[in-house]
Amino acid sequence: MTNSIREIPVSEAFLIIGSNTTENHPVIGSMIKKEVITRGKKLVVIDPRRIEMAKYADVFLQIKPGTNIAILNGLAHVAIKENLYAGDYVASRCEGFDEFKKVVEKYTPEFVADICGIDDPSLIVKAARILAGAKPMALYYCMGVTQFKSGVNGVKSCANLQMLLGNIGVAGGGVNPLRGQNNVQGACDMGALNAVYPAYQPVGNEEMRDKFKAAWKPAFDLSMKPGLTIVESLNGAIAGDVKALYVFGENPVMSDPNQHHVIEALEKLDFVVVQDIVMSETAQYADVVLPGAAFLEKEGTVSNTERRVQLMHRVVDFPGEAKDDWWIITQIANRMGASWEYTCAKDIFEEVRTVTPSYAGITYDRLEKELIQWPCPNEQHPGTQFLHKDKFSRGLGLMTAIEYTPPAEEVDPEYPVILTTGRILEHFHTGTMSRNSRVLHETVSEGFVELNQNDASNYNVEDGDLVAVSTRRGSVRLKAKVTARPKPNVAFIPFHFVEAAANKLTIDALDPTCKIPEFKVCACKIEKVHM
Amino acid sequence: MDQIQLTIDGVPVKGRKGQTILEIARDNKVDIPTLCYHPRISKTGACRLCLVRVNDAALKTSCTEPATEGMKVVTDDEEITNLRRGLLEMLLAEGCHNCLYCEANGDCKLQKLCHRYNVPEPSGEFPRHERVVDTVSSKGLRRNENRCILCGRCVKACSEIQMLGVWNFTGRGSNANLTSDMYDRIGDSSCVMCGTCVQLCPTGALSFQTVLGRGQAWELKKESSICIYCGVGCKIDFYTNKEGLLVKALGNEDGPNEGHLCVKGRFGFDFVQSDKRLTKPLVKKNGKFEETSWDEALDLVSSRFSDIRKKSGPDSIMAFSSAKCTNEENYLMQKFMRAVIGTNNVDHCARL
Amino acid sequence: MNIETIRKTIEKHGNGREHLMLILRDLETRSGKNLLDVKTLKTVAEEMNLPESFIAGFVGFYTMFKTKPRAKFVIRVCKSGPCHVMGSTTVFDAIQKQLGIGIGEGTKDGMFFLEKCECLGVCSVAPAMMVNYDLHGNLTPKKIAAILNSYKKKKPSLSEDCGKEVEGRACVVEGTKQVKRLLENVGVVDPLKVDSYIGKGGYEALKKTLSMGPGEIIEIVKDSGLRGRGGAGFPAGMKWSFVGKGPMQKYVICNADEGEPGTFKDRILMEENPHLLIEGMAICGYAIDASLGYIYIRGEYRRSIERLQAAINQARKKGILGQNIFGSKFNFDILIKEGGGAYVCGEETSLINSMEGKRGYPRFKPPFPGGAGFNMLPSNVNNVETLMSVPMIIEKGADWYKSVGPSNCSGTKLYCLSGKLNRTGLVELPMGATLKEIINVHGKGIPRGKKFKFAQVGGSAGGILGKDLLNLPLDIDQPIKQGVTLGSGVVLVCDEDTCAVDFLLQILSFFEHESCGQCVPCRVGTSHLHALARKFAERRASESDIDAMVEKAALMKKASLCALGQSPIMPITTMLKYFRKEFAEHCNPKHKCPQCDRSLLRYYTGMTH
Repeated sequence: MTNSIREIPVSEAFLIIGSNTTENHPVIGSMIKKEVITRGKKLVVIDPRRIEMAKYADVFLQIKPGTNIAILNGLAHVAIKENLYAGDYVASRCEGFDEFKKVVEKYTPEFVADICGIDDPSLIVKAARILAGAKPMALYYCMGVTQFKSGVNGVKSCANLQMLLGNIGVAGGGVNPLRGQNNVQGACDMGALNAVYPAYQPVGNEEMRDKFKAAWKPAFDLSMKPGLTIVESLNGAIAGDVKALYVFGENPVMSDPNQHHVIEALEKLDFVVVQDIVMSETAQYADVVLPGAAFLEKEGTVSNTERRVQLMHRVVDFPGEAKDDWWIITQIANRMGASWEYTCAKDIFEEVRTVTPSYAGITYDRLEKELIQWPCPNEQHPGTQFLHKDKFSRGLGLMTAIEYTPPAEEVDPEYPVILTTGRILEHFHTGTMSRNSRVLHETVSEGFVELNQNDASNYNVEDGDLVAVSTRRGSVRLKAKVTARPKPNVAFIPFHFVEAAANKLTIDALDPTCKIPEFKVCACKIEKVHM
Repeated sequence: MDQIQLTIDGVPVKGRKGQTILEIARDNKVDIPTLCYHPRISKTGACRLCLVRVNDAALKTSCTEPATEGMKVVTDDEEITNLRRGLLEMLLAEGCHNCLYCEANGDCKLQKLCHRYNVPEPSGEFPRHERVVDTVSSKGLRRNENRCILCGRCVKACSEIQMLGVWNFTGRGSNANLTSDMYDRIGDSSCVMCGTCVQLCPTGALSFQTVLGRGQAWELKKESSICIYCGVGCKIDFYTNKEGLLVKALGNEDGPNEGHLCVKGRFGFDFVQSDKRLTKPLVKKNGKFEETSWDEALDLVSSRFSDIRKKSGPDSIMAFSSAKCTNEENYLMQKFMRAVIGTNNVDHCARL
Repeated sequence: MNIETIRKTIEKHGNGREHLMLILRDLETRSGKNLLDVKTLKTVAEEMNLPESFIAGFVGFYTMFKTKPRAKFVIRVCKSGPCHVMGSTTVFDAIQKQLGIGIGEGTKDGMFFLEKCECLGVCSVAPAMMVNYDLHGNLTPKKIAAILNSYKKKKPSLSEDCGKEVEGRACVVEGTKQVKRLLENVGVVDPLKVDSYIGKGGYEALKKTLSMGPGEIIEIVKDSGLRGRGGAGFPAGMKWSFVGKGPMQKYVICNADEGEPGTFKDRILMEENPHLLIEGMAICGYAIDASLGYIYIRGEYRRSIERLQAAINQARKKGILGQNIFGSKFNFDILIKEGGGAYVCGEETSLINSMEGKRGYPRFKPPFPGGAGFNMLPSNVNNVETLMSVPMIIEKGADWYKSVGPSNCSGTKLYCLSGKLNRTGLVELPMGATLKEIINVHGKGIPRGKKFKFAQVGGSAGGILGKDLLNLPLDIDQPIKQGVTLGSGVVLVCDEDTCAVDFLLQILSFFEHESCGQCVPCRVGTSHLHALARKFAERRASESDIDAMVEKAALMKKASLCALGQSPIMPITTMLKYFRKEFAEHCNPKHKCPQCDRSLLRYYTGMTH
């Protein structure tokens, strides 16, 4: 997030796009709801499903999955056409406006409504006026923007709109991705990415290579070649280029877009190590399984969606011979010739500070008493509540002209329904945690497919009926949940349930830049299963 | 300046204009008993326990009364003590408060205040309404309204924090009671089990399913951590019992969540102590996993990695790091891949 | 109920929480069974985008609503003070005999359902009952039979179809020496015709007001010494001057929730001279810079509601309400809000919550309504009688107004006579009339040569006056010195046949029924007081229970959030002052008390409520 959770009361309006906030980030969802319900703040919701937030929205735009860029361009079109945008801000702080303007020119409300499947184009105008009329306005998005082959462009479109309306670099504004995992921010910050060192310092940069070589003292020169992403490495395994895999706390068999593909890759690898807390679906394919620690057994830091670094304390002991994950990695490293001397998580963090400028000022002692958001360059620095104040990190904010492109797979007579996936309130990701928690498991114990009432009656399906959902890649059977939530001709499946794994169905089309898979849209067919 | 000065029990204290007497008293570590007050919700003024004497005359509820410059506040005297005792006596008589069977025993605000004000056992001569007891319909929450003091904290927790409004009062006067949705059982209602109502309940009227039989309140140990689920990063106080078993999770008010949690943060912690946990290193031999020692497992991993590195080059090894693990662990994993294996082949599920 | 009906009803009244009362009342009437079933309510919640629990809580607060099936006609029999004294037990007897149903029961044919209720505001014709929304008074077994028979052919409706005896003008005492200011035009103007009111000089005061400055108006009202007629007696002009200033919306709110048992003055004024209230509110609106007024009327007063609505409509047509009134820059309009059967909504902050479509819980103060009232915006709340006194003050001047009544409580007062008198009804006298004058002159004495035992002045929240206080001037300040209060002007006279215990039990059961339940002392205290009083009535009390009652009530007085919980101490201590001995006698299990026996049999069976 460019901005902070505690700025929610400062925002005068909210645009929520591609985020089922009350189910996937419920605490933030409630905070936004409070502003909208009790303080009359404005809310525009854009989503293919009539999610709870839509109930409180001033305008709800129920779009076809995969048409975010079109709708965002449409909002920008209206703001420019009606001269509602922040002209001074754009002129003084951004660049690329003219090209951007040229591209969005054709995204008239009618044109956009047609792409997005919105019946009434005037709703787009209304939404744009609301969003442009309230300052500051905060944009919140989630995987409903990113998990497309055009995911990066979706994010850029979000930034375009917020620059256009002058909402970046101001308290209560911002482009605010809601991070799906508790430390996805931190894992990125720490350089657990194929092309960057900690703090996003590129591996292809000589200065960086030298800096890290000096810090780490490896026995060889650090590689300057960007590494593989998860999906690329699986392709690499199948091709025979990748021979060994060390899986740490991940469950790609369940979480990757194409399950068959993952399994094929795992089976092909020479050596697979899985370090996890339970025998996950992926661990079944391992040669060695190492018992790591669960979160409540650990000490360490995590960084949340607003860049706030927080301390975790050890609450319970390890079961059996399970070990701290840092200890395990250290042991392997040292057995391979390293001489790491960490005795606790804090030792590691002290090293992190020396190579990660944005974390340099953060210490465990400060975290015990202070709220700190990175960047925090030194120990006197209070941390940064919101980014791009006065000036963008890159200088001028870059507005990028982006055209809408349709998703990889569109519906056809054989697969006539759009399938989209996501999470539900009670479960999380591949279910390894939530489905092993009694209360959560008992509350929702099986997967389902959410169908619109009209579609359900077309397929002669009633609530609770067993249906088969099939795509070109596979088929699963699950119970139908007939509701008013999905847009007609859209089906939704939560991806937590191994016995009805959504990734048997989803497509592995990737965003060309960041390689995110297009989980949010593919074509499927629905058939009632006759018992 | 909007600073004001007043005296509380003869001691000069400072506060800000617009603060209530209670807020200034709390800021200055003066203890005034309350039941319906909670800093996270709007003021109610219903329990009347926080009555204080203002300027030697009127009794005012300190939770609602704005403090003013020069105000003289007395937080306790004989009359106030008697009133508080009388009010507590009324509350005891109104419900069925048997600490022996109560989930909140040892952690109950009513219990503490009844001790403090030496409240006699209720005579039982007054009629009382049997209210709803529903300990089964919800997987997460238990409701025993005979222990309810109608302070309204649950009602406001749901309508002002969770913003759902599952709870409200219905009925009137001595017949007033709680309803969830339209007189539904809590398990059949629109409750999303965020548990905030339970966290704010000052008695055992609302409690967690996970608590009963897992140790008394005073035996529990508390330690804070950060929720493992989404990216909000809710700070949570986890409670463990003498056996080291996790008992309950309460939202910590210093975190970004300001005390609030969702159902996952509230109840999704027991996987940690599930019997599915791996407790020993496993090595696959002939297609079957066998338990082994750490030494053997670590030697095997390091030697296989070394062999493959040697044979096929560092770029033939890949690591998936984890968005569920700490900064320290992620840092170490990428350092391992870059500085020990010698490749940038490290990634995690940021995109999933 | 089908969803289209529900949608149409919501649309008719407006899809907002503040319209909930009218929406639900309408739906209940449309049900034909006086029923708001759970399914209907869930649909309402869905359609209005409100949490179900809000609707459940709302319906559960107002006694006029029920979620269990009742019948085509609900008979509500009043058991409050005046009706109780005048024999409401006999009404229950008669209904039991004719229909074979007791309280909480319905006839098998689905025609009738019987409930007890608190004051209906027709106390001069007690005992009384309400059938759906029709009021009937002076009930006798014969009359009851005729009334019930007449319903067999009727359809449930929301319009006025009351007995003639309850008509406003029939409830005014005539032929005695009074100072008729507020009553001057009652029975003279045609309440349904604005021209009739104008013909009598109506709206002249408003015209005059518009030629003056708002500050001037407030000064005149202050100078007149007009004090609130709802019970608390707060100086009206001062209250007006406390209303927040600034560009925000402000409101004039008329408290027409006349619920104090024994009070019926506002009803008569509203029914008979509705334009006077409109005029008074408009003047107040001008003075405090409010462009909107609300009249919150108890839901039982259908005739007042209809006549006021008609008057408002006529005034709008005439340009008396609306934009640029009389060519000035002043804009003002009035809307009606209805109550749902809750005494506590007479408390101004409860009333405001109720107006907002919430449970009628009183709010803690500060903030006061003048600063943050309806929708948390500045609001001035006055009683009907107070607001209706304003036009004459503007028209004739403060000095004229002060020319009657004592210097600190000037003007006239409407006294509501009920109970054991030869003539009951409304009289208007200079503030400070004595009980003796009221009983002997205007009430024409006590019937059948019975002896005066006590009078309850000020309603349930008021006190008991014995023989020693017959000469006490009943103004605002004098009674307080004697530990009693004038309140809203209730004078309920009881003769020697009245049992003090039975009477107090009736008062205390009333408080338990009407407590909102929000604050602890009142919620639990009213219940305990009722239980204690019941012990005396059942002759199983001990003398220590007398002190227990006083102690509880004293705690409630000190600790309760609003006036309701602070009230029971007065009837208890003043009753005990005269009749402690009767309470002691009731401690003897062998003591005979047919009155207590009848009440226990008829009203107080089983748990309270």
